[in-house]
Amino acid sequence: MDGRGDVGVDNEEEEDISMKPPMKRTLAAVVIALLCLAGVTACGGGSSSSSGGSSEGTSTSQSGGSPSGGAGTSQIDSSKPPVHFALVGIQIPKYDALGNIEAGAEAAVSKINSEGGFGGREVTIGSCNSMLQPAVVTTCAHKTLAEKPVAMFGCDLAWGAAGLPIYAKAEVPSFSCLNSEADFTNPWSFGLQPGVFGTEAAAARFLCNRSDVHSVVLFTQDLPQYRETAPESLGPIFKECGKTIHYVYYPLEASDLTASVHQAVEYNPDFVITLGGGAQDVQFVQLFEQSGIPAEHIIGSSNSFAYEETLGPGGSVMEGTYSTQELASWGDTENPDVKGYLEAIESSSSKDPRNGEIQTGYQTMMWFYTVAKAVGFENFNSKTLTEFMRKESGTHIPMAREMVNPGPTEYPQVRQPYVQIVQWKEGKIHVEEEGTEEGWVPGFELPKG
Amino acid sequence: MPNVITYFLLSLGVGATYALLGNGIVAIFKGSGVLNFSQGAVAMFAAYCFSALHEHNVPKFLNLAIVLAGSAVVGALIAVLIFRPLRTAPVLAKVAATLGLLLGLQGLAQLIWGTTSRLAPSLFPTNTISIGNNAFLGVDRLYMVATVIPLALLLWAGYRFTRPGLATQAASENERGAALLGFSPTTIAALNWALGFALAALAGILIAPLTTLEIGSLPLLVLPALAAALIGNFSSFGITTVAAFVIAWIEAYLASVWTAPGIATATPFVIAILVMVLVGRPLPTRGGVSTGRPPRAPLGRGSRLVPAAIGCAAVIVALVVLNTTYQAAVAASLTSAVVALSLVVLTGYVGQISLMQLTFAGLGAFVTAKLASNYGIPFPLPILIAAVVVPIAGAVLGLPALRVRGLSLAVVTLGAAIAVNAVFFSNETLAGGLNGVPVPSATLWGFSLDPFEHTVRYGIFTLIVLLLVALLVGNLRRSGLGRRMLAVRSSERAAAVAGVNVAAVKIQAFMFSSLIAAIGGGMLAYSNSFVTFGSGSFAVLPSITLLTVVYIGGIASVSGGITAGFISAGGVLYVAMSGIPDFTELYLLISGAGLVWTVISNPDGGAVFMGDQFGRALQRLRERTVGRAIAATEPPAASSDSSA
Repeated sequence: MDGRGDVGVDNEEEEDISMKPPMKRTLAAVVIALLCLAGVTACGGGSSSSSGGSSEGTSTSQSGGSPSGGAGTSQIDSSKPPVHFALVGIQIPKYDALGNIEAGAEAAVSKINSEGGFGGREVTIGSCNSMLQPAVVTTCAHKTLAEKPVAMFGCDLAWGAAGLPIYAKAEVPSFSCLNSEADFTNPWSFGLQPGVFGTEAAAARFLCNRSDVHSVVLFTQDLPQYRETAPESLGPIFKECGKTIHYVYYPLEASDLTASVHQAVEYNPDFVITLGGGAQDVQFVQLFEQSGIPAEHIIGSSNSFAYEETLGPGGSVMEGTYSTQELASWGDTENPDVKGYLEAIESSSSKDPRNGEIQTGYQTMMWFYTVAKAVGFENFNSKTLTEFMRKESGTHIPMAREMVNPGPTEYPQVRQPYVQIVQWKEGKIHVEEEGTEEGWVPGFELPKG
Repeated sequence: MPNVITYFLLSLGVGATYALLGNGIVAIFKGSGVLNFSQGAVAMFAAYCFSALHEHNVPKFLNLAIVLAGSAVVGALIAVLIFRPLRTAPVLAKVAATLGLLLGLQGLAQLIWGTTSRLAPSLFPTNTISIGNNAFLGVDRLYMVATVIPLALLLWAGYRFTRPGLATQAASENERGAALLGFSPTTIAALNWALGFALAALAGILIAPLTTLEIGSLPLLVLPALAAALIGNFSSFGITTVAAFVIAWIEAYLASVWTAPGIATATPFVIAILVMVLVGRPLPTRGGVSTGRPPRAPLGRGSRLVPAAIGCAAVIVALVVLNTTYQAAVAASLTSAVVALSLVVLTGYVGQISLMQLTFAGLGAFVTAKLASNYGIPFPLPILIAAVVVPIAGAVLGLPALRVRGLSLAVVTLGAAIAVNAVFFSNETLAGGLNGVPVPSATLWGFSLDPFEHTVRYGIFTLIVLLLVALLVGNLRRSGLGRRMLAVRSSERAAAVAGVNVAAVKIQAFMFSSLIAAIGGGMLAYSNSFVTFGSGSFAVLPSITLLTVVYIGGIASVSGGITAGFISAGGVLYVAMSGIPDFTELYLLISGAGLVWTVISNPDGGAVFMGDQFGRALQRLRERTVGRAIAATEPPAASSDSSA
């Protein structure tokens, strides 16, 4: 041994193996077991089977009512190739954009398959948790693509950077939530909903139409994307209608938001727009009410009306608040699509259907069903789906308004730019008619003609 | 009323929480010399338990008593089961164990309660009073202050006048001396862990109604609490309490007057770092307890060549044979391994606990992406330029290491990581927000290395880079600088006496480490068409997770760094195991438990352990072969003699 190498460590090398033999054996056994397990799953992961090898499971349950519009056949034909979809979303301690979307999508799949799938072709989903890490997003993209999906749907902030290029290269369309410029502009990306950008703008247009509103505060998390999009989307709209807007960004860390609310109140706003979502919305509303701004003067995102998290636990605190809904709200029970959705979730899931994310999962699968029926179940694949998305216009999107093609000028990949404005009153959802087009407000400037 | 005072009053609730958590950290540090990074996670877990019992209609104060007592018992058990075996372990092992606890508690909470945020029941009345300036203050905040101040006084008195308190003080100064006086170090540690956990539980129960119950952000409350405890030098309950209220006030006030992103988040840490560095006061050390040996740093000479060649061949075969999922996972593993090797140099060789390695990687990715996209500099020059530029930042961010070491440095690097992420990476104007910075596809001598078009080529490129970096780190270990680094790790004082320029070695280590991290960051930038900084990829939690996997792999060995790459999120093992149902939900729990287990049972790391096992098996095989050969050459007469 080189004596110079001994400094600080090597004289201890002799005692480095002071562990007791049983512990060593246990460790070795666990490592070997893990490697074997990894090997086994690696072999499974390499297959492109529609019902195996998916990262989180595949849904093929067989109950539920009939999909809107009826199906071609009433039974799955095992001789026909299945139709597989990939779901990619984030599920981490701070955020879950996977579990609820998955539950909604599985309910839709269950309903579709019980009616014979896509013309006898079984519908399956393979999901992957991207964990909000670009490296894992890339992994999810490759892994789900290996299962030969017709399309991807879901939500990850890094999809535009780390997943979309892989799907675009494979010419498989993505139906992801819209966050980055790539999501809005890549020809292989499609937005069935307007995303945060659109809901912000729709809230601004709604408030522009109200004569009692002169000054507005946007109260939202201190996230780079909100600092980026909020002034861009809200500023010009309020300027055009002669109203003022102020921005207050509250910290992401767990914190008492009293100080941030006070900061917002100092602007003396007539109305407050929030983009938070979840249980924290109840706290905002309470804090604003304590500071003299009533709940009727607060409008939140679609997450602010997730019943289990906000309206239920919040009770009377939430009475009167507004929300921007990317889809026809779960409380809009006169809407036949919503009715079908509620029935489907109740019959096949233990989840509370009064949740926008569950609706999103369900709606996306039903939209695929709509397109498949239009192009012919036998012909339905990535190519025909993409062609339909690029050419067709005016088709009704379940739980939303019609498809717009081409999309808004600056955001050409948005296909459903409308947002519904609703209010929580006396334990019910009320669709706002005043200042809207039958309850809908455009989130983007639509192309003329 | 001036606005400054209004914001001070509005920040009282948060200040009280920071004070409780900070004082818990101080109590645990006094009792056992462990800096508990999981204090916020304990608060989160206790708050969830309180909420769950509330849902079962357990009366409020009985509920409180149950949760506080339960937390205290768990704290004492953790002291005995996890930290007693680590009593003589190096500081790094103890820090790693608390990080393992943090991840484990988060993972467990996620399994039990899910990720959805929820409202928490309040212990105190929630009506409000006007404090002027259109501001209203919840009465519960005043109750919180009325709870925390007397508690701080009680803690001060308890540690000054009671027998267990005096024993703790004695042990915190000289554990062996205290033991000779009849105080059991284990009992003292258990008592203080119990107290620390109970304080954390109370903090969680009090803050949750103000912030909502949420698994992700509540554990991060430990960060400002650490800053407060740091200002209190981890010994004074009074100063920690005052510092906690001041930090909360600065956060609230700055957010109202200085709206640039991240300023309010970063400022308390910058202040704490400045105080720490300017005062240059080390954390109190515990006299009399010998520090165990740090993780082994094997020399890795000739005998490693064969395993390295086999490993390279296996990677190339895997890249060629496997499907694109695994090809991408191999490339991601190799890239992560490069970043992991930067930690091997800084923490493994020099013993400088860094929680900002991904900050260096992020800076490398930023410089690379900007040079490639804004100035059109061809690949691989942007990575090389980043490897020159980022070490300058490494030297600057490493300057505090000249004044502080060990635990203090861990806190300082944590603060620096938070500050850079909050002010720089989260700044949409500088770092592009969610759009990130576009990165053109890599091309070398006409060959496209696009990770999407040519995954195999890109994978081989990452393998070559990793090989070069591994050679560099391996040779560093054998060089004069490497030996000086190990000398500094063993004992700075002894190294200085032996003529080693400790300051120069530390700065060189920071520069060397940030150089490697910058190369890893540059590779990360080229691995996608955009590199995004706003999604938290280079924030402090991923840095903590990186330290976790490198420790599990083997923090002081090249093979450990490479192993870390393969077991990190997105790596080969992760991808292979993600086929197991609910694996991603279990990932945090497995990481945390794995880290604690490694720290206790195999502090050298998995790669070194496996290497030893392989070496032993080889040795046994050789001995058997030699034995058989000897038996075969023995004269037959000998056997006939014996039979006779």
